Amino acid sequence: MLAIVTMNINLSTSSSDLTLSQITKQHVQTVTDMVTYDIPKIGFAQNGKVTKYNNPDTGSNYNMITIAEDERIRFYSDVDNNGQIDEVTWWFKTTDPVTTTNNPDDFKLVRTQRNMATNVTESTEITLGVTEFVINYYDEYGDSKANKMSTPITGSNLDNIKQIDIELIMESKEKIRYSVNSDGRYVASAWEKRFTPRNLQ
Amino acid sequence: MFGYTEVLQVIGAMIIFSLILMTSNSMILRNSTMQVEGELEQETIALAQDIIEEARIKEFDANTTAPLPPTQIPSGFTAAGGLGPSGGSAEDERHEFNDFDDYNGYTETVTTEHGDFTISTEVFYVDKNTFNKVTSPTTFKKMVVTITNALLVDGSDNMKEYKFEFIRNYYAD
Repeated sequence: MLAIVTMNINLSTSSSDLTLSQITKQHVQTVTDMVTYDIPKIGFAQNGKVTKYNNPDTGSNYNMITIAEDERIRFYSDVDNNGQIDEVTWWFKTTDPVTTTNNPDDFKLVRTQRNMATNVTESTEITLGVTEFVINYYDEYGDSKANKMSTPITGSNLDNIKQIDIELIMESKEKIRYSVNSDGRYVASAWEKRFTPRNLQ
Repeated sequence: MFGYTEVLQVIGAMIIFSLILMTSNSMILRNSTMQVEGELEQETIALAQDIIEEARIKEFDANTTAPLPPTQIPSGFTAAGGLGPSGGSAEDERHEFNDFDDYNGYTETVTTEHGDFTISTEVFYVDKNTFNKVTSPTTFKKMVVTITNALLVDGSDNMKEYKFEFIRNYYAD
């Protein structure tokens, strides 16, 4: 009888683990789709690229990247290819926890897109369980992580960024317990990618 | 009073239960393995994309890094046997590579949240129609990125090789 009960508990735990893992992976996929849509387009403009000295679409002067921190990046790009430059910001707000989940380690990841021509801002708050979103910057192609640029990057060093590496860890909203006495754990899924935006070369 | 029949029935029930238990354990194990494999394979793809994206923004050939291209194309490109870093201290490290085929023979172990991944890269000329490897210069080069991880193994416990290919055309740059 005890063996049957134990087997039943194991099966149900495994099933919950699998379901939570799938959901977390799906959430990771959602975020990575958004990130991989934006980052490679840094500096893109229909008639050339956004540079510090000349913006071919608007005639204004912008740096391609204006904020480069561990948890925040802001750059200019015509991300939606409508002929108007957008200011895009990704910000992992570690001071702003997600209150709708039981997980105490997840914080809000916010993507903001401001159209520089119309000044209309769209903001997307991601509250899917992001527990880590770290941005690393490199001034040499293929450099090791030990040689990443120290943040925050300011002034003329912003022009030296060639590659951007993003580390993302997401956890489930609920804990899974493996036995009655265990504290349980949140199911995590990680993703990391180094981008080489063409306009930064 | 119990007889042999009951004993045999109990033994039979135990055997059936053991079989169910073994099946369920193997199912749990298989699910966990597939879960881990899925996670690692996703990282494998990201790592391969990293190196391909990086290589494709470099010059097509060592002989096209100068302001003017070679006078004869494709015979003016590097010979098939000479693909790889130019040698000397100028192209020792990955960050010093300045053209696409410098990645030929490049190997690296990358540490991520998911552990260590071994990356090796091969670059060679391919035929413009069949995309098969050829031994003389053409305007097409293929990069093959092979990635392995100690946890990604086949049924015989040998590490699985994940291969990602990218074909680059000199005129499509």
